[in-house]
Amino acid sequence: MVKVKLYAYLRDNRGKEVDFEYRTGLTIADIAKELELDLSDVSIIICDGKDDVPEKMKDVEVKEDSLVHFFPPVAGG
Amino acid sequence: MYGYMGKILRINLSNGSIKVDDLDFELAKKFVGGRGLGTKMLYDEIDPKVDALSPENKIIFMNGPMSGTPTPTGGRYMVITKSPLSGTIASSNSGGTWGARLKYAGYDGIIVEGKADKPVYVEIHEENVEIKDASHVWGKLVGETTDILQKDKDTNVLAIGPGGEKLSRMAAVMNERDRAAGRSGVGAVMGSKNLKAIVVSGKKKVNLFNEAKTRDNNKEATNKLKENPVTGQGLPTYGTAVLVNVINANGVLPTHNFQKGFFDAADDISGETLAEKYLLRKDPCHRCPIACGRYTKTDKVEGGGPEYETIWAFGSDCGVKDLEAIIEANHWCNQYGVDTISVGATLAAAMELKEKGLLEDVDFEGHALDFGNAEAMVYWTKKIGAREGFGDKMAEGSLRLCKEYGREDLSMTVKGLELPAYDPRGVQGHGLTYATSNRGGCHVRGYMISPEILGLPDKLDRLELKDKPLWVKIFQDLTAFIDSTGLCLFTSFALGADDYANIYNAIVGTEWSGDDVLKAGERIYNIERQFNLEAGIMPDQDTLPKRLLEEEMPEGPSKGHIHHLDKLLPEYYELRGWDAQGFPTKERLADLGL
Ligand code: SF4
Repeated sequence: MVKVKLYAYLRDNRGKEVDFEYRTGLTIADIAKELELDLSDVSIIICDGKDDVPEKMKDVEVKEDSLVHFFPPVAGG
Repeated sequence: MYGYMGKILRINLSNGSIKVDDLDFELAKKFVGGRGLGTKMLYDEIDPKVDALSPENKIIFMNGPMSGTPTPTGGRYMVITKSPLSGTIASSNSGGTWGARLKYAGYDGIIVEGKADKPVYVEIHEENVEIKDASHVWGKLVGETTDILQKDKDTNVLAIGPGGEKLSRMAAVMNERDRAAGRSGVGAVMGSKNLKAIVVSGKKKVNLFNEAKTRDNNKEATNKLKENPVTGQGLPTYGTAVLVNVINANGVLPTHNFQKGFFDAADDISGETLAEKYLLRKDPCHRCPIACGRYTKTDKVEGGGPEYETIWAFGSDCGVKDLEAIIEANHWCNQYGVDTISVGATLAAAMELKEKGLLEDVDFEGHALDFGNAEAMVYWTKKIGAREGFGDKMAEGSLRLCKEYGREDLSMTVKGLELPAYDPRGVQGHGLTYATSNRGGCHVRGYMISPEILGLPDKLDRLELKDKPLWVKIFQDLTAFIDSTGLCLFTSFALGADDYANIYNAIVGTEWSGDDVLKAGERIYNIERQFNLEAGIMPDQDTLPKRLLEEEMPEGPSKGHIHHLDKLLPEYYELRGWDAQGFPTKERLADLGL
């Protein structure tokens, strides 16, 4: 099972956490599509300890037990 | 003179004299205002070796040229003095409206000298300035003091609480009740002078060099802030606490006094949970379209905050997952006038000392300081504010506390200032800013979290070392300029050096480029460094706690990493034009006009 976590307003209508059935070749872009998540609304994606912008992460193939975080543009200090 | 009011109020509390100095416009342009100009004045007027809590230290409240103008976020001021916590230069920034109001009263800044023989406060209404007896408010909390001294809605009150009066080295200067110039113990310097408050009112106007251009600039800046997803949506909706989850998901949310970087209950204390359960409304500073400030309410308290740093300090750093308790601790810090970061971090250090069996002799009064004990965390926060029981010892800050128990290594501080909410083992550039910040362990002297974690303006690999020293230097220099203008640092998520140059030029009448902005910032950074060196803070203090340099992160997404300061520092010194030992060279100082 692939676990997906969402934050801030990406949670609207989607909830905090969604579990995905794993299939071979499942990419982060596939997950976003199934969640109706426009990657232009996402700023940072973290998958199994690797963090980067959507362009660099979208083609990453997840593993059976991957944890994927989607963050919208956020900041503070 | 444009942008500046041209006047500095000089108040000597030892002899009761009140004078008005003319502002040296050339000097003002060289050091901009706020943090830069205030530091230059302090450097020229005191011996940096002076005891910070003696009458020989001075405390300066300084505006920038954009404070009190219609520029978005133009209402911030700086408190500059020698820090009683770190012995370094202290410059603590605060928002709200007090800074702008001081401009409306006709002053760019106030220099307070000497020491009153009994508690006093200063009341300023334009040219009428009086030193008044403060015996009726001495000992009172910040909220009550404000209620008593605030005459009407056009008056703004800056005050210290019992923390400052009792010379806690973590004491803050508060304005509008819950806005804080929080760090470095600046409130204790006010307390050491027997100065309880400064009450300001006035209706003067700041003259602008080019009003039409300023209007256009403001419109453009406001649009950029609104359109930028961070300043237009993320910060307004969730406040700074929206960071809790993203910092935790990267494994750099310091937990249990930096023993690890991942907190299982992060979502319970996140900005999302705060917005869902406790947020009453947004609470913006003067003329701020971003409005990151929160106004929250629980069954027990209501008021401004808490910010991300506060939530971390009382939350994961103390192992506490009870957001209501964190809001309560924040409330008491504002009321007693003490810094939430330093208080939370000192509690966390005490919890680790206790965990290691080193506090057997301490009377915990039935409130054991154990990681995760929310009730004890709130109890001892109040006791630190009031300097009672073991709280009296903790009010001296984490470094002095840990030293007393023979474990200086457990104090998560740089140059004596408690580190904020990011573990540098997983953010290498940010660790370099901690080590080289002129006020010690601070995150807002070069916020490398922005590129290294948040991807702003570009995403950098947080663990990579290459090019980080250059990024750090540029961020530090730009920040020094912004801190000197009277604008909020958060504007830099949407604006760049050229935008700031345009805004400054239209207000002051200069013809600066983005490069001039960075050069002014570099000048300010170097004069702070000079102050510290002359105060005896040597380059060997450009370091991090041993734990972060030697112990691998034990778990979480940053597992296995340490901070590689030794690989970053030489290049950083070189880029700064300092010698290999970290001393600014004569050539670089001359080049910067110092
Ligand atoms: S962004 Fe937040 S801290 Fe900055 S001026 Fe606005 S409300 Fe104040």
